Amino acid sequence: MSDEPNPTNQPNPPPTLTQTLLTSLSTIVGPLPIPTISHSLLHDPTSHTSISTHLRLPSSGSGSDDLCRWLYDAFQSADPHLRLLVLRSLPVLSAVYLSRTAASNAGFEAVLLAIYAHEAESRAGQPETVSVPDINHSSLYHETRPGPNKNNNNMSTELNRAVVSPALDPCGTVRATRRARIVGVALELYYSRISSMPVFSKIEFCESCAVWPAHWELLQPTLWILAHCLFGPAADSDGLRAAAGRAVERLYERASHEVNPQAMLATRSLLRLVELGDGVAPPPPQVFT
Amino acid sequence: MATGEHLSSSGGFESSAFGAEDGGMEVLANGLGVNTSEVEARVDDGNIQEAESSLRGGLSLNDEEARALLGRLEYQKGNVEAALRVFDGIDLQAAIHRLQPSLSEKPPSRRSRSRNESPHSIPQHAASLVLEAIYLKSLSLQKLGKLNEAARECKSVLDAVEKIFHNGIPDVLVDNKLQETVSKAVELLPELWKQTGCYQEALVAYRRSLLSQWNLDNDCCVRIQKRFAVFLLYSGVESSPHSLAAQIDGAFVPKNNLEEAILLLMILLRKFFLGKTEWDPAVMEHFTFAMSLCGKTSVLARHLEEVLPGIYHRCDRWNSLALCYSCAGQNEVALNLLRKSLNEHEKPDDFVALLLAAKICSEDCLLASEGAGYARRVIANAKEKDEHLKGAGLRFLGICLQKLAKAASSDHQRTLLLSDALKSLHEAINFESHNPDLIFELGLQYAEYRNTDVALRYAQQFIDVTGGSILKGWKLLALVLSAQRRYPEAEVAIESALDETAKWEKGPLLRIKAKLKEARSLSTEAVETYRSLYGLVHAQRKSFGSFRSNSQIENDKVNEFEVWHGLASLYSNLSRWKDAEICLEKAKALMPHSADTLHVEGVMLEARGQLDQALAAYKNGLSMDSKHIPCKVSLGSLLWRTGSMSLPAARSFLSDALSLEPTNRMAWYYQGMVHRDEDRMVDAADCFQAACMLEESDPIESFSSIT
Repeated sequence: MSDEPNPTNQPNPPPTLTQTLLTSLSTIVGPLPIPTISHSLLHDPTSHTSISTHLRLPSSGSGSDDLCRWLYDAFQSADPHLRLLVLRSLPVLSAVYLSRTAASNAGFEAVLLAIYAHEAESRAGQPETVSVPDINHSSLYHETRPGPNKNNNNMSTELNRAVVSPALDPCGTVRATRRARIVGVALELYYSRISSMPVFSKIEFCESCAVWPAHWELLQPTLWILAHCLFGPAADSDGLRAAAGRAVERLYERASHEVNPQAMLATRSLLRLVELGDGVAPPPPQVFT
Repeated sequence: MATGEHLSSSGGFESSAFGAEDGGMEVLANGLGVNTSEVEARVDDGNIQEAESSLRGGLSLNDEEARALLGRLEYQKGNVEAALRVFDGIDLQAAIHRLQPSLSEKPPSRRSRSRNESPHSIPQHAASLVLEAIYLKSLSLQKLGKLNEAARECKSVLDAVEKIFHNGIPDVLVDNKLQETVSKAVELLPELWKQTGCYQEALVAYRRSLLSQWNLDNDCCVRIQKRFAVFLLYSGVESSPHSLAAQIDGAFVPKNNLEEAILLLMILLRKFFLGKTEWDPAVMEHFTFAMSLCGKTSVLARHLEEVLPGIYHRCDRWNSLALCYSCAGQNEVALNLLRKSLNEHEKPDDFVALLLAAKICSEDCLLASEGAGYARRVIANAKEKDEHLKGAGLRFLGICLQKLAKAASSDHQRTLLLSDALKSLHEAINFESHNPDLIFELGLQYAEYRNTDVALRYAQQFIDVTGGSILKGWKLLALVLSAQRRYPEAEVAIESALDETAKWEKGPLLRIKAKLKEARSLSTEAVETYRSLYGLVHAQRKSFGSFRSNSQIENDKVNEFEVWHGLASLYSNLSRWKDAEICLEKAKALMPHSADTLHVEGVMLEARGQLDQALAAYKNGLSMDSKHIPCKVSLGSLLWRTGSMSLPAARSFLSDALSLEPTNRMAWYYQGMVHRDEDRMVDAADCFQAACMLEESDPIESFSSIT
């Protein structure tokens, strides 16, 4: 189908960028459900499977890969639903990308760099930090407010500032030593949109993440995502919890082999929570008939 | 029909099953009673109006209250749809309007409440009935899967309570049943929003339940706090910040989900520690997860230390603490804790403890022997399902033995230890063939062993398995190639590494590059490389804020001193004394008491024939750092040059140097000269042979500089 406007017979308005992109997606991965609307496509497993299959082809990921080019354009478009659609495929894309050491990954890298640049811009390059509160200092949730003798007002919480995600320097290319960080930042964005992600994308993540390089830069967002799959509000759906549990087990085993105390503490606490059956959502409401 | 059971589980209402033949029960309200079976018959016929009026007549209730009672009956019997039909007729707004003034005008005093017939107890009772009905309506809707409506009804209960009680629910003045309904609704609302997938509403509901005055009991509050913390940690829904109104009297107000979750978990832990509520192990695990992902394990350790005795086995607590302290960089504290838990009377075979102890010890020459012991215990105990841990045990054994070899007192012992170390690492690779740490360790050991061909293979394999993402792999590759005198190839490796690294990580690579240029007598290019290194160091110092930390960069940061020191020794090798002196002054200004600068100074003085001053410079160097090998070797060679009187002193400095660094080629060479001059020709020949062999495998920078 041609995108060119037809001069003789033009009752329809010219297609929007989103429509054009959706049309071009169907020429790359095959037919899409009709009507094709970006926000309904997000939860459509068939289109997801076609994209995943395409990404797993040995020929995928090169600079001339149409699908990578499409993912890049879709992420750069202003349509938030298209962005989510790109992020939906991030688990497969990252897994295929990280499993390949050979070159010809320019297509994958272009997508990852676009996501990284978007994050770097929206955070203005600044690190993400949290202040770990001092429990002796009064807080919003303290049940007893401090009395008039509160001389602890100046107590500094600065000392307990933790960097959750370090500063983001601009990256024009993927250098090997920054690879884990770039993929990690993309996963941080995936996590920040995870409540909109369909379950099948999360399951795909759980099934592929355990074999990735053990950089903390990758492991940290991975653990946030897995913890969400285990204990997030939608955790009881369609085997998601089980898939996440298996991934955490493998990560714990690897952390023990490497004797990486930080990863051991984090993964062990998740396994213990699974064992305790904690955070399990109550059974769905019973319907009386 | 087991109506009695329904009633007893409903809790708190004055209904009782009489077990009458007709299966009916009696409802008591306002001191009057009505048998329910008559009413039920009417409801079953679908005649709600009639049933209601029968209730109203019997109990002197108004419309809303009668419907509330009737609906509750249906609900308790499990007739959810029938209950809903009844509840639908309740006009909550009208009820609020009626109840509002009577309750808020003048709160009844404690004394008047002690009598049932107090004038205020009736409106309270009515409020209680109506609010409970709406709460049950919400539950019915939930059971029918109408979650959105359920949440809206539940919310309307809370809105109504807030309208009726302007200043929050008074602590002791409220009817128990009303309080119970309120507490249940407060607890239910966020769960309903969560089930509907309206996460922002859930978040608002959680905050409302914890920040408004609902007079919740402690257990209820703990349950909500925990569920909220879990929601904040794992939902992946970013919350809007707290309103300005919440920011009062300098109290800590969390800025994001993680801060809010951590705060709530800390408050829960505090309640446990003070014995205010029952211990919940899951809270500590959620806290552990959050703190380890933030990298604040020292804070976690403090909380673990506060856990009351009897909750964790003492060894488990020591081991967890050791993980926390090791992660926080306090390995010494961690090791002391592990020594306690690995004591033969405690849990000497715990794998986590043994592996962590072995790892900590493997990083320190003085602890290597202890570490080898732990590693051997891992290997001996790793059977069946734990067999996979054998590889890790063997790896740490290899590293510890190598560290022990460095400190060995004799060549024979050293050789034995080194070959044992290599054997362990090779066995380990059978278990963990793709473990990058292990591959690197093998490469490094072969390099130190001067088997550069094998070392090269491992260095390349390490770069393959890590995709070139780890700096030390590139450094090892370049240094091994330099040891093989393949300088141009080493430079190619460094250039590829420079391509693969971001700006701030290039420092150590540029330093190696400068030395490679120097080794190839390309002095102009070497100077040029030092110049770019200097530019990098400066830019780095300017732009690095306190949070721009990245462990890989921190560990490898090249400092300005190294640049001046490198340049000084480059110029002094070129006999460009003036330039060398300038660089030396710069280096000295940065670090006035450094053995390194004193050594370069000595070399310059010696080359210009100022032997006494050179001697003094070397000696000063050694007084700064008694283990400074270049000073020892230079001092040995200078003493050897000055003649037979000094030969014994020269010999002792040189053997000192060799015991610290057995692969120091120059030390072997001068030791050979000393032996020759003292007429020990066999010893001299041995030394020269060693020097000769080493010359063919000398890297431009010591292999130990890599890690």
